[in-house]
Amino acid sequence: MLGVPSAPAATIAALFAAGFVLVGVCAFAERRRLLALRGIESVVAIAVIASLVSAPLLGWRFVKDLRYTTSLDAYDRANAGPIQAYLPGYLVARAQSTIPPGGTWATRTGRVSNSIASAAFSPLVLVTLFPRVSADPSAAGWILTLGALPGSVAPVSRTYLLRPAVSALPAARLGKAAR
Amino acid sequence: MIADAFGLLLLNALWLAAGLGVTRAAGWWGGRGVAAALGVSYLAGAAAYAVLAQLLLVLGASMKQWEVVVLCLVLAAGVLVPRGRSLPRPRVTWLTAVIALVLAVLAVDLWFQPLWAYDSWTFWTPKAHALAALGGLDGRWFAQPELLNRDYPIGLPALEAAGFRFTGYETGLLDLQSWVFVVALLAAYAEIVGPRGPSWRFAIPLLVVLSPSLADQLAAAEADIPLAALFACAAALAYVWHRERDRAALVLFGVLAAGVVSLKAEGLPFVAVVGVVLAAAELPRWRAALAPLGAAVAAILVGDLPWRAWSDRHDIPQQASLGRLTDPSLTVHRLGRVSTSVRYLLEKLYDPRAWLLLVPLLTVLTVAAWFRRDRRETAIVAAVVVLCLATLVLAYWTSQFEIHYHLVTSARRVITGPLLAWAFLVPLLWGRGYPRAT
Repeated sequence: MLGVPSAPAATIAALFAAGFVLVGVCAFAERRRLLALRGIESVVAIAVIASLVSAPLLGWRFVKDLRYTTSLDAYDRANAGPIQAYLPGYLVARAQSTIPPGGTWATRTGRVSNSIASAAFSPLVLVTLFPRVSADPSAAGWILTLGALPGSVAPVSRTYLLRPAVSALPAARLGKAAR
Repeated sequence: MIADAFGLLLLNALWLAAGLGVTRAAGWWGGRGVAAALGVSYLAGAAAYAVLAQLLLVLGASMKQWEVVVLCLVLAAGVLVPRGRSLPRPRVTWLTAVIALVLAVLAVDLWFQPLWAYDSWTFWTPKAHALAALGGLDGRWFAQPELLNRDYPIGLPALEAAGFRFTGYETGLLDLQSWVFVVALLAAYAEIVGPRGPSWRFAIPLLVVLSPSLADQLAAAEADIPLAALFACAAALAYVWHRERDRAALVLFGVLAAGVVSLKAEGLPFVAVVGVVLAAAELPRWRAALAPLGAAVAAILVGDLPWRAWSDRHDIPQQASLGRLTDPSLTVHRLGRVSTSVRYLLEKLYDPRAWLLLVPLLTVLTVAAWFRRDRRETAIVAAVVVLCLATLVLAYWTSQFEIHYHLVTSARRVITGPLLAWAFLVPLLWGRGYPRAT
């Protein structure tokens, strides 16, 4: 779930305490039926009852998640994937108007401190430039880089800055391969 | 989005109709037994659609909206086959109401969930989008070097692309599509285990729907939940055939297993395990042993071969490689990975933050069945679960990825199929007989 935060120990303890009380009350109300259980049925009942202790915690997870997901604006909603990978959804959007339909592309990441962001750069380009297809760097018409210069991948005739470096995320660049 | 949801509802109704045709033609239900066959039928319909859509896409079809409708109606024509039997109506208990309530809460949560999980936005959904937007299996796009997991079969993208044909490119509904698979799985549980299982049988699905891992995976809209739903139902049907010699169950095992294979790479070894274990259980009756093995082999061929042929023709390298498996220098060098992955998979299975007490309970029930029920049957169930998990260990052992990265990013999800199959098989193991209305 997208919006479930890691809860402080006190919150979890309180939710489990509520679960114990809830399950205790229910078990007391149903004590005759529960005490009549024998053998494997009692084992199953114990497992279910013990699991239900976590019911308030599970409910809290839903509430937290809903509070988060219902507060997302249109941009966050449309770009939740890249944002989860520490990349802005518009990172290479400018390349859409530069690379013609049918143009081929390749990516390279350089010094990117966040490995998830580094790995997600290529998929973000793939999604943004759809339906243009990628190619081997030696054959691609365009080179997109994050934290590297397009010229370090293949000879380029022109370089565009797609987004300057911002805090930990290095600059994204586009180069037109010289062929 | 509400109009799109109606489109998704219509598509799911088509898959259900297709499945009713498949299950009726297989002889699973007849007469007025339709209400007791909806869960199995939905899963069979989705599986049959995924397999056939993959085949048709490979053959050059574009699977436009009318093609989806025609394919489903052709499958639905199976309802005209005059065969089958009435099934006992699934019982509704107070636990059913609790499960329905939890499912409703899940649906509300998923309604607001955007597409965010890494695998879903980086390759599952883009593949589905490409199938719909490019009018089929475009060789240039699907074979491009920077597409992740190019070798994965396209059963799930084919299902999602059919959704896009009815809803437009609405990615927010993909979680709800996975939710429908879970609802169908629970209905299938009521249909298969309900009439056969012991008195405590409905405690298991309650623990399944309450499990945080299920909610987490549904919100991620990846292939693991549809695969787990199809595989759990397939394994249960194979076991029903083993216990009751029900031919319809064997045929439907084949259909669902083909769907499993078409969804994701690990589906193939899972299906192979079920086929091999049940065949071994039948020995030395060779003819009986060939039946589950034949069904599994047929499922693997139908579910995998068309895609394998297409990807070979487009020079797409396979991540799962027998070459790596049989390379002694590589496997010996990586021997430490075996214990690492076994430990990690067990941690994920027994983690109460993921599956509450479901796995400890299934373990206790399986061990108790060894002492108090049929040892041979217990060994069959245990072998299916353990060998499925062993295929995962094998995959991690020979994986080209760094082991810790691979485990952290996938282990919690890939165990779901064997786990849900276990949840189906244990109550069947403790079953009190197999009543059937005729």
